[in-house]
Amino acid sequence: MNRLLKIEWLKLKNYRPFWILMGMYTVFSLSICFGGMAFLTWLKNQGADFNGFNPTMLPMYDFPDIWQNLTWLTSLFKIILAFIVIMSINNEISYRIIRQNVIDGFEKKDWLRSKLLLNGAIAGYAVLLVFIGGLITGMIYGHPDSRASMFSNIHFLVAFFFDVFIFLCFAMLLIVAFRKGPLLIIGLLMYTVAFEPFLAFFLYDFPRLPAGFRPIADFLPVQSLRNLVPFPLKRYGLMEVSDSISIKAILIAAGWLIFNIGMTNWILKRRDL
Amino acid sequence: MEILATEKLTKKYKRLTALNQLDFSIQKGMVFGLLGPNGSGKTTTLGMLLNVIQPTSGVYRWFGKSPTPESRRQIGAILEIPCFLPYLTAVQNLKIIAEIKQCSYQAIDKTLEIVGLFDRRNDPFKTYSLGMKQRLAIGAALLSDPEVLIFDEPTNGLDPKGIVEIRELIIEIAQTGKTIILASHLLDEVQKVCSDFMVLRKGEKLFQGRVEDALLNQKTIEVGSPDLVILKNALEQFSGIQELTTTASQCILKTDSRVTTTQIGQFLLEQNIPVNHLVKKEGSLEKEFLNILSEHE
Repeated sequence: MNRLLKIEWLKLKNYRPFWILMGMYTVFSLSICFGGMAFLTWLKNQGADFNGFNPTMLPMYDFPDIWQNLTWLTSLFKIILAFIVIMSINNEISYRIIRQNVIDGFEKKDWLRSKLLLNGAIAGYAVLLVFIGGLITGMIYGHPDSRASMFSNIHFLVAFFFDVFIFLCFAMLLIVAFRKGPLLIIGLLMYTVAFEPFLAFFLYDFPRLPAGFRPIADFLPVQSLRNLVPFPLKRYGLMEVSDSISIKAILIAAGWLIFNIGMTNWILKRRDL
Repeated sequence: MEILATEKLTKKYKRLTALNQLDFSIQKGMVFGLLGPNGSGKTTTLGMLLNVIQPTSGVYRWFGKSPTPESRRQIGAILEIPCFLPYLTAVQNLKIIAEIKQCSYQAIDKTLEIVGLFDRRNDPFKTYSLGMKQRLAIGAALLSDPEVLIFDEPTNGLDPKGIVEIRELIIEIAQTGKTIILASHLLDEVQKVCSDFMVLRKGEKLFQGRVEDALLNQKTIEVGSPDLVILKNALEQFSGIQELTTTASQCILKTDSRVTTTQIGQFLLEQNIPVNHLVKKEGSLEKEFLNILSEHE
């Protein structure tokens, strides 16, 4: 296992786009963590007031809510991590590295395993960033009394890990199946940030849609992962927000996890390299 | 010892049969040439033996056993084009291969010296010439000091100097006693390098045998003299000649392998027959190859 991860490291550590994308993600992720207060201050300076309520007084950074807030927000940027997966696998396909790896003594499964380890490592890094960012900003901006429950909603970090990991496996399946890296990057971006959110919105909220169609949204490949961490910011509009992870969301995400990996394996097994 | 054997190895693509029921075997120490026109199934065969193409039917054995990743680690192979990550240097690429083959990094520098790339070892692969890329591919195949090497068209696209370099490299490797499989459509190359060869065409095996035997059939000695009739009568007395034909200016002899031009010259001198031409002609695999192909038309 160690060896497989090392091979991935050797393939990536001198690949400049890997570092650029990692850097971009790190900057975005940390600016979500640290930028929230700056954003609220900006709102305040713009003269916004929430029914006479000072925006900077929003308890966004209070433990334990901070974990749900930050993971939900950083999850928006996980597509950058998916680009790493797509670009590196695209290289391996177009330069026939997979084939040479098999010739040199890999099994196709070893190759798949090494990619899963890489996806896991990237998702782990994403979690680590939120964790550190959350601890620091929570200590700075959160109400001191909230520190007692510092780790109580930590399950959102686990949910976030699977959110990122399963999404990366989805990207892996797509690039292995379609093999056109640049096209796929554009396609996945459009799908993830525009098409599917619109579709999900339509399915959830369009008034005249027959009720039977609404549950479909829960099964969409990206939306289903977003459902692992429920949208938290409504609570600041004094609405009720679930701070647990629904069993249904877990089951659907697990289904996608199995599908993404299983299909990738199936395609690799059948394909001549 | 048997290194490789196939039984009824077959690959079909929709309508096309790329390889049909191929049976062949390779013994330890052979330098085995896989010959055939483009599209005859050479790369398909090698791809199946290296587990990157799924056979439609049939089986093969490496080292007398069903193939495993371990058996592939004892084989160094390049298929068609050199495959490396272009943004990595030679050393960085070879480190990945060393990890996969589970051999130590210490072999890397030594291998790069063998293939003459040590000075360029820290330059990215994409800056290499085609010849250097081929040499790096051969280096990668040599890295784990494998028992068997497979080279598929190793001189494809190279300039004449590059071709000679690669050929000499392969001959050097062959002299270390390794078993080599060399697929090529360059007959001259196979003739210069290989001990055994097999001919494929349209996925069918047409012939397998020793290069030496194939050439033996074609070895001739040409003798010329002002008076061909006397020459011919005299040569008929010489033992060891299997076949004697005359052209307008000379006699052409097919002889036992032991017969040398020196013996013939000596013999004709003793008979006081003037000789103005005495040449030993080596056969060429090209002729034999064309014979084999035409026999199967």
